[in-house]
Amino acid sequence: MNIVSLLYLAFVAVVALAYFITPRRFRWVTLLIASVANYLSYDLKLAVWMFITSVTIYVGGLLIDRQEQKFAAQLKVRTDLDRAGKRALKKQNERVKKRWAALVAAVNIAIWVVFKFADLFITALNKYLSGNLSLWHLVLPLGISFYTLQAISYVVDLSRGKCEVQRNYFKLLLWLCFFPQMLQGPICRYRETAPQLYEPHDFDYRRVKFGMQRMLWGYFKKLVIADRVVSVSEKVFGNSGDYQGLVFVIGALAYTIQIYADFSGGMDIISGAAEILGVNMPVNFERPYFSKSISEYWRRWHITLGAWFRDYVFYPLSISRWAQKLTTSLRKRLGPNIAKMIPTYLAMVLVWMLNGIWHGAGWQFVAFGMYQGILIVLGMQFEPVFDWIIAKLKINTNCFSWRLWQMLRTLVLIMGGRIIFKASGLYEAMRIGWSILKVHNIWIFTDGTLFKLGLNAWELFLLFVAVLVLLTVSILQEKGYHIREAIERQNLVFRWLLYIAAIATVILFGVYGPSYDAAGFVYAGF
Amino acid sequence: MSLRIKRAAGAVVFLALVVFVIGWIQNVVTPKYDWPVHNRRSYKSIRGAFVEPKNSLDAIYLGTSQTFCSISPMDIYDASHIRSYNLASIGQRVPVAYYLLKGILHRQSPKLVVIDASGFFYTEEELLVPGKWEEMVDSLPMSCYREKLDMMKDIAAMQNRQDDWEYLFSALLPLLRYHSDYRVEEDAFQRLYMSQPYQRKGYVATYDFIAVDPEEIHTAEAMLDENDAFANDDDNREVLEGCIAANEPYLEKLRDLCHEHGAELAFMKVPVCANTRARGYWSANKHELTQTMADRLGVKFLDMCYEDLGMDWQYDAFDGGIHVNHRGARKITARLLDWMLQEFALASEPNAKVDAQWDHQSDIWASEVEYLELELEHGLFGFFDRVQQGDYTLFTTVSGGIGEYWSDEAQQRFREVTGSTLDLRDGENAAYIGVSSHGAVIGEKHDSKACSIEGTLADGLRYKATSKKDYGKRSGMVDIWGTDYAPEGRGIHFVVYDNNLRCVVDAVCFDTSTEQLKAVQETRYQYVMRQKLIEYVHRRM
Repeated sequence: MNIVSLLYLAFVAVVALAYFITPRRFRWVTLLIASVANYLSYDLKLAVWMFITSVTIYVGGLLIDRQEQKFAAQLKVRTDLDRAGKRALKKQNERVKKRWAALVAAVNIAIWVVFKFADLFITALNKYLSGNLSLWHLVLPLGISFYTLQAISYVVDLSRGKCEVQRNYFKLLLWLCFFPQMLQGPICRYRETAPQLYEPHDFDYRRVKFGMQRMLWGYFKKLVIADRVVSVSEKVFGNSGDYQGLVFVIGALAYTIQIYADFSGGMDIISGAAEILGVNMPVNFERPYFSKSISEYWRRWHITLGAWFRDYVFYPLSISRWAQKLTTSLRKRLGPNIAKMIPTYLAMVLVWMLNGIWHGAGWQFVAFGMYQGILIVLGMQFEPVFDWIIAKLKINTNCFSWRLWQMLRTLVLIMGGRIIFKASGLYEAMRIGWSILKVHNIWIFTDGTLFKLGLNAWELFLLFVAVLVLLTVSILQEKGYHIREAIERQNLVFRWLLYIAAIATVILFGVYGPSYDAAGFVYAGF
Repeated sequence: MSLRIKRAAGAVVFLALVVFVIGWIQNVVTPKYDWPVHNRRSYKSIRGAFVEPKNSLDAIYLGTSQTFCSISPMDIYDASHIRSYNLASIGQRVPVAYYLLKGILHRQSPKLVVIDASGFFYTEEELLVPGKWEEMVDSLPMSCYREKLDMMKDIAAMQNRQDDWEYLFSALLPLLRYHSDYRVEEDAFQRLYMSQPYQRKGYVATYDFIAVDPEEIHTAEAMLDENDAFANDDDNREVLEGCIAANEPYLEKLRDLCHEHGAELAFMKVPVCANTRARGYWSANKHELTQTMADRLGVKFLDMCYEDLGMDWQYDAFDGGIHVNHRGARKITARLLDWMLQEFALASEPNAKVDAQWDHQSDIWASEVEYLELELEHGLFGFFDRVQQGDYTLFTTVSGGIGEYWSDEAQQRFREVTGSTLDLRDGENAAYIGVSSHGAVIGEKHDSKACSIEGTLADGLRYKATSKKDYGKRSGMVDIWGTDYAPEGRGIHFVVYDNNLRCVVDAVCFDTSTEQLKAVQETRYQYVMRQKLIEYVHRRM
């Protein structure tokens, strides 16, 4: 069910009530029933694929564990082995475990690829080989892009010995389909989240209150900001032929605000619901628009996805035999520094390309990933040059204005990426970029154009105030201020007035309900 | 008290506060439409029926806007002591009428339910206009929660939205649909504070008369002629049969519901005269199909389109013959009362407490009508009579010269009312403007070409009046606080300013170039004016 619905609120309330009245040892069963029921409520047929994934990682996990036990038994029995023999046995054990993990990962990636890219491949085949294959029009199983990565992380971690095997299939299933994070993440690691799910939590007044507050904050971001500003971004990018120049800057800014409020708002709702049930979800956003570089931005934006690519793609690639061979062969020709850099950068660009593909099937998403990767590589490459210039020009970098400049510079680069992401295609994205550079129609701020972009003056004012609230809260959080704790220290009347005002704001100014065609969550589409 | 109990009590109080705030927001943002300002009418009029004393109504009328403009329950009460209520609403579909009746029958046990047949002929497409349903869902009180949900289910099924349970739930929590009303309707927050009296009992009294062009007057009776030149596109027998067939299940349910509650169902059709090619409001086909349906269901049918009620379509309709004004409504109401008495021997049980309440409301109603009837006056001498009786300031301007039909008697009466000694028939001086009060002239001018006069009344009212000899746009103007109240037309214009209410209460032009001194009304500002009048009446009561 949609997490922005009364039904979801009622569902969370019922699950929480059922959870706390269930005997302690069966509380995880309550979560499992709720999670499976929630998933089945979307689409019974498509749910099969999630169950297949859960079975593959369960079986794969058992096989990896069996191999580990076999290895331990062999070590015990083969007392004759010297150090080198033990190392060889260990290597062999690692190889077998990796093979099992790779097989499970391959099966799941294959399922994901078929669902996500089948039509793209068929279209390409038809186009380049003059084929006449009909499209499959497959409907993506809900949350497949998230739970596939999560599933892979389990078997890989297991093969690396970073987590314990789960012998109870239903417990593993609960970890894979825990209802708050099913739709749009965060991408949880087994060793971090699973123990919290299986451990019985008692009713904690403060935690429940904090969870509800976080959900309310999420609804504010999603309903008041994201679903309001979506009118502007949709209007500008949906009718890009009608606009030029600075209007696209407004559209890109609107989309930048929308996607953050949408995704991080959804995360707050999810994390709040999980918090009520005693589960702490991993942090997925850390005020990314305050980043001072693109690489920092990606450490703050969709953190769990970035960490997944780092741990399961980038690191294995960087230390792979292929990378080592390349470094060795380049060392003689280009010197040790460059020889070291090239495989790293190649791995980085590949990771960002995959990151782009994860977001969508199309060249523009590949370009989006490449754009980010290239920016990061360039940033790293030219960092010494920039440092030299700064030192030469004696620029004071230890002040607010410099940090603000860095943040704005990064934001502009992020907006560039948003244009690639949101435009109807790669060519269109380039056309928009060219129009921004070429047309300087500054009069759009005075001739009423702003009010014709999907929001009238009153709605724009409302949006401005809401974004200001978001910015203020973000600045406070950035300074390490714990807002919920600070509110808790206030007098009851003030607290209640604040809560009621917040609820009333979301109810009154939120974009929801049958009279609206509210936008779904952007990231739920991946 | 332990911390746990304290926290539980706190949570309960907090939840109660949240519910209260949500309820308040819902009350603020849910539309409370009021005719004619929103071209919709539901909330107050429909809710009014639910605040009537229990089991006090003898009859209920259902139907469309033609019905709520035509039947005045308070006039029926004044004439017969029969207590009834007009539950018609704009474009009321038969299923909607059914649910409204079902709702009201929880509180009332009428002996007769009369439904107007104009709603029987909506096409399937027209039936499916969510707004027409949702308005009524929201107008029903929460005690009719079942009817609200059933209506929502029906409309959701028609839109294939059966699974959209949030839409269904919005029957009970309209906030889901209207929370953003502030962005659509600027006056959303003001409407909460509108106080509408209920003494009209669901009747919408209109006092405008927009004369129907004699060429366009085309009664339903004339449609009986097969060679009728007005036969319009949507008077297609097959289509109409389909329409009434779609409504048949609900008409049956209506009849059965009435029988279950000891009431009798009857059909009627209030008269209309506007049948154009674009829209046929009534026709012989519709009459026959309704009669057939009435016979099949065993209910009586009164088609007033085919009766001589003495309707004067020049002055009895307010929008060109589609809806009648208060003059027309009095004639239709009288006929319906006759029919109800004769055919159903309808009578009311005396109930001292309820009657006292109705008598009081009747007095308010009478005062309201008395104040508003000046507007309905379309005869020059009747107009003079009414102006003489009130505390008014009269602004007069002549546009395009006084016509040949300005008689001696008219001149004489004009002098009595205004105190003017001038003769408007003076051939040389065709332009005239005058301001007078209580038979005394405050200022006047008579000129051969054009003249104007401006000044300030004792209460600070600033005015400017202009008269031109040649007829043209704004050749006769009465400007009060920057607004020109004089109607567009040739002849003599009167703008009546009420000295107590401090507002314009009537603006009319008599065309003195026509023998019948045809009256033309200015209707642009009348809603505001009427609101003021009604508020004044209420303050006095």
